[in-house]
Amino acid sequence: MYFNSFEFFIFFLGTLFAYWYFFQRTITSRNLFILAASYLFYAYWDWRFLSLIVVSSAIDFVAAKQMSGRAKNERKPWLVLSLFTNLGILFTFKYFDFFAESAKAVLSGLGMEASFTTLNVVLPVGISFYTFQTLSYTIDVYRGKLAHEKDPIAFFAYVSFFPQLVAGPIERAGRMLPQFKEIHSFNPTMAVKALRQILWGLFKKVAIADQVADIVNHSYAGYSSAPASVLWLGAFYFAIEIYCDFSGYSDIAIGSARLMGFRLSENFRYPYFARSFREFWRRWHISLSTWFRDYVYIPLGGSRKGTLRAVFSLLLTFLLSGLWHGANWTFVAWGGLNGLYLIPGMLLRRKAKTRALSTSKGTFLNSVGAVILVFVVTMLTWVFFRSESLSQAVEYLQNMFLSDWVIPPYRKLSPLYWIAILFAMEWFMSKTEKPFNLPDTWHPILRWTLYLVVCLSIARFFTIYHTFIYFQF
Amino acid sequence: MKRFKLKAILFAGILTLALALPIVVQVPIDEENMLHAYTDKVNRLQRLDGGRLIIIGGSNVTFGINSSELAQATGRPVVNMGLHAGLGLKFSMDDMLRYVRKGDVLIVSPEYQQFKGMYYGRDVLLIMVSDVVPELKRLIKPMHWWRLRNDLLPYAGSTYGRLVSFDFKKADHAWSSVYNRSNYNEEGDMIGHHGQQAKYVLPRKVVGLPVVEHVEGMVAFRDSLKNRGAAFIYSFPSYPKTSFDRSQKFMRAFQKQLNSSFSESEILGNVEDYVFEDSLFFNTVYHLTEEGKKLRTAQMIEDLQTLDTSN
Repeated sequence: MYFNSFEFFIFFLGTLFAYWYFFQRTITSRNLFILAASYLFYAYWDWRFLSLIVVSSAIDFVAAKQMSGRAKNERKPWLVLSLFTNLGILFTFKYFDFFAESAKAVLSGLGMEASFTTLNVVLPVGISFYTFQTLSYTIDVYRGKLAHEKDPIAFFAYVSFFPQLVAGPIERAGRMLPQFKEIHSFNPTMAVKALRQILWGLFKKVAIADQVADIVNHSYAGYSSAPASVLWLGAFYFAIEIYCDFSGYSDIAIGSARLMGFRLSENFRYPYFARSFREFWRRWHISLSTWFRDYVYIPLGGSRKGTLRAVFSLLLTFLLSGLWHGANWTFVAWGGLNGLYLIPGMLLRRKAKTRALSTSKGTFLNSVGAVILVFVVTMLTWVFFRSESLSQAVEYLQNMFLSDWVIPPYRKLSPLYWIAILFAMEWFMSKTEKPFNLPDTWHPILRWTLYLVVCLSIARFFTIYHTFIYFQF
Repeated sequence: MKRFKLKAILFAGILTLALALPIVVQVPIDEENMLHAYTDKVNRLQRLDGGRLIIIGGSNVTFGINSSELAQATGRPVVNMGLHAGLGLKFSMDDMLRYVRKGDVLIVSPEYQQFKGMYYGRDVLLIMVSDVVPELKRLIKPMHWWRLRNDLLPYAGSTYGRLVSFDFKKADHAWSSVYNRSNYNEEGDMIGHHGQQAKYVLPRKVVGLPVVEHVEGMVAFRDSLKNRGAAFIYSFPSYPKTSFDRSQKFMRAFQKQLNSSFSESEILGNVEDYVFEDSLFFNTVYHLTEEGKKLRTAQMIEDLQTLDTSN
């Protein structure tokens, strides 16, 4: 049940109606309803994978409860149980075949024959997201930063909360669980803001990401023989596609949750306006970046244990972040490259010779130049993310510079108009509080006309043939 | 709260009305639009007596067949009814049953996507039945409308785009100057691309397996033709070599499915016979250049002669 489908529209409308009209008497009945709706939402993909969420939630609930009130060394076995279970499930479903095949390839390269069994199992939707979400809970309880949750229904509802279940934002228990205990009342002003955010998310997903998706697919399918112009266009469109696809999803998720009275974290903050790579990572997939910062980078030593250790921690964090996205060396390479881009800035800051690039106040032209530079390098790095193999990525990049130039057909250039509209709107929005928050000073007819135009633009490019990219992770 | 509800209902109402309007009201499209060539083709069909050779398919048959040569080789007047794959094979077959006469021979050559997700058509079909020839709406049965439900939104959206001349598809067609009504010849072949330089065509891949139900739809069409005293012949669409190599799994399964559904005398050649060099394609994997068109037509004539001999 994708957010851009009729099925979700009907499901969400029905859920929202029942939620506000029938399930607000007690917090328990409301949470029970959220849990039932979330499990129904997830079971729509494959009901068998529901068992994974149930097992994961149950073990973490029990583990956290057992950790409560015990000394740190007594808490450790329960943390290990939680880590072992969650990462074990993730490893089995997502990484087992990848590591088995990689080991086989390495041994074969060394002249040794090895036979590994592969599982060939289907990857459960959103497994990486809810695994990380629930892991943060047990780690925080272990660290003593969070008290264990006593209400199992609230906890299970938190793990499976459907607006953000399959592709985030990855919410921390400390921020989300209290919201499951609050009494929510319908706030029309908030609802209007939520609807605007959903509308903008749909626009990015349907009118932009889906529009360029076919051109991207064709470029990557024909990378070995396509002209350079088509490959550059493919790389550019993929940078746009992945942003609009994922931030569009996040906007719909945040807006949907907000309609139910929940506040989810901001996941994107106009990343393509970043003037440095550091700034980019503070604006892109914020909930995952902060997760890796708090649970991997800082425990590895962060920046506290010398330059070499800091570089090592940074690189390892980014390599793991790449691997989190998918079981393929292309993702590892993508993560590693992004880690490398951050090192010069980090070294400069450590030597205190210059202030952080992201905070430097240059001229307008310098800022524009920095934005373009960061965008182009990021765009080229996305080639690794999108390619099916490292060799494909390298050949794609080579052909971008070595193949002939041919003017692409108009059909391939027409999305550029829409992308220009997108960036103009985003520039305007970056100055306002929430996405698509048109000023109240504007005449209502003008505002409604704009909403209607956006709705019709979404209708224009509506298709059921494109899913959300991040659902596969 | 009450004010919010009222506003929400009002906006939903305006939006629903805006989306439904293009389906109910005819928004005529430019007379030069390629879809209007349908009327020209039907007129020719009606002018000719029985014993015609009628070609059904999407744009692969309009770009890739020389009907005059086929007419010369078979001694039958030819009508090339192909127009756009987005009309869907289901619609093309249902429509054709209204015009078939005893003694006609129908060559059916749908794009491979017709046996995946395009069988029931796309938003192009909605443009055809709403804005080009509204009486064709009668051909669309309720179940067929249901299958088109996901295309209603893009259709409505593009209609508004058309009204404000903001539709890039239209602009693209104007720019390429090929997809125009006047670029079809008397028999219904596209000739607008003759002499034009071929554009780069990215290879494609047909993934998965053919939908059995769609092949069965073609079997039912064959049976209906037989009942009317007309003959059915299946012909493979032209396809570039690189794309064909990438779609081996589908192609093998498709040929197998055809062989089990139709007799040898109902299929023209093999799938490989209609695979051509990539350089012979004009702007998509189905649109042959003028040179490619000659080769495909020659292959069809050769295969038709073999069929005649065996019969």
